[in-house]
Amino acid sequence: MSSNHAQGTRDSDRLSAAFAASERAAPRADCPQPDELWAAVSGELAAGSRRAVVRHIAECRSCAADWRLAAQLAPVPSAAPVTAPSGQRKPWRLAVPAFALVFACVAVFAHLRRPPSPTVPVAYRTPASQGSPHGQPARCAAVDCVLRWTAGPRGTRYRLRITTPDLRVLAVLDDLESPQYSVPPEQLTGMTAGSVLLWQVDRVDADGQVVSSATFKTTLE
Amino acid sequence: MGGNRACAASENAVDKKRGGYDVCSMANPLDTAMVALPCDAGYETLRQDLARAVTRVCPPWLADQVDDLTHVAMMRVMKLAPRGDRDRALSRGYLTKVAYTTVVDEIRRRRRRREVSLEDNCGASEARGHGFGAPPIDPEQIASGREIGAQIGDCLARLSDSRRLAVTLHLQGHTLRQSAALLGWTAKRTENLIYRGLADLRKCLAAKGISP
Repeated sequence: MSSNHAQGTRDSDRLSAAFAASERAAPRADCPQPDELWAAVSGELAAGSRRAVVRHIAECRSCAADWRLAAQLAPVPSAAPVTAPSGQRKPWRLAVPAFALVFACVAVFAHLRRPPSPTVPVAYRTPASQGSPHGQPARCAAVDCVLRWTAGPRGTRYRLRITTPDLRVLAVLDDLESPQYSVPPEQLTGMTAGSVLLWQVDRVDADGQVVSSATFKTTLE
Repeated sequence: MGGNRACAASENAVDKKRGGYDVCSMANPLDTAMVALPCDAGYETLRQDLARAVTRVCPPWLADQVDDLTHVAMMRVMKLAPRGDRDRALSRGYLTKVAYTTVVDEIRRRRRRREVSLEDNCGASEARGHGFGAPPIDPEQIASGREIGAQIGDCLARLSDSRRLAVTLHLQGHTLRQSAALLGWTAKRTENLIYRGLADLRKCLAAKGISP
């Protein structure tokens, strides 16, 4: 009996290892954001949302790997819910799913009437290899340094933060209307050729949705 | 460091303690928002804590990026103030979460650009020592492991929804109690779903000629 149990455990471990060894494709557009994965693993999301994330990781190896990493770091809940014995169920409990169904219908109807909101991440206009935080940096002249990024839909505003690599804040701008910013030379006082700017853009869409860019590097010439 | 310089400016003042760090309110150069930065020693402590968190989260193949990732994580922490989260404590758990999201964003960026190392992409580091049969240490075994992983994924997709969820968490290494709590089900129900789901999974794999 115990040898059967041990065999079953070994089989289960092998299945887990093989599942973890699956080839990881690139992340998909519908992958949950890392903070959503973290919230799901640590039990901060509602149960329905957690199940939706688990449903996703069942078919997405990339997110399954990210989930495992979060599970090693986040406090995973371990208290299973307790339900009342069936004989003690209250008749009004039937009303809860009914109200939930009505609420869901209203929510779906309201959602369908909303115009779709784009979720395309903010991208730097130059090739990614030049604008990425860890790739080859882009360059600009200290006297005419213009930072540009991909424009969002009409009505989009932008927040821009510029710092040095040692995190000295050079500029924080809210509510920019155009997808570019010309850095005034006086803000670059004391910076020499070869100095690096780190900058990041938040795109605030008309409906208030915020999409953040990666942190970009630009080297002064 | 620069953070010290920024915080040490004469107009700055320590206005509160947050998560054990002294925090400065610093007017930004264009006076459009306030940026919260920890002051002096607080800055260094925060940076060191964040660097430790990033190091803990970082997979070995990203170890040479720890400094860059720590900078990115610091910038994320700095964004707290404009978002109105100034009272959120910078606890160790919070810093770990910031480190996690920063590192995963970088991993995803590399996966999109196909820059991920062989070790990460095949999951060999996770599977080593308890994979199918011998540890997958050569390309042939890695390819075989991938193939089996793909077949498991295919069989998982054929399970009923509730069994698939329970078995997925089981394969991810969660205990029964954790799986039950994460799915919002009772332990008894979850245990049944895992048991029946694994049986279905083995049957499906056996039909494909794979017997774990």
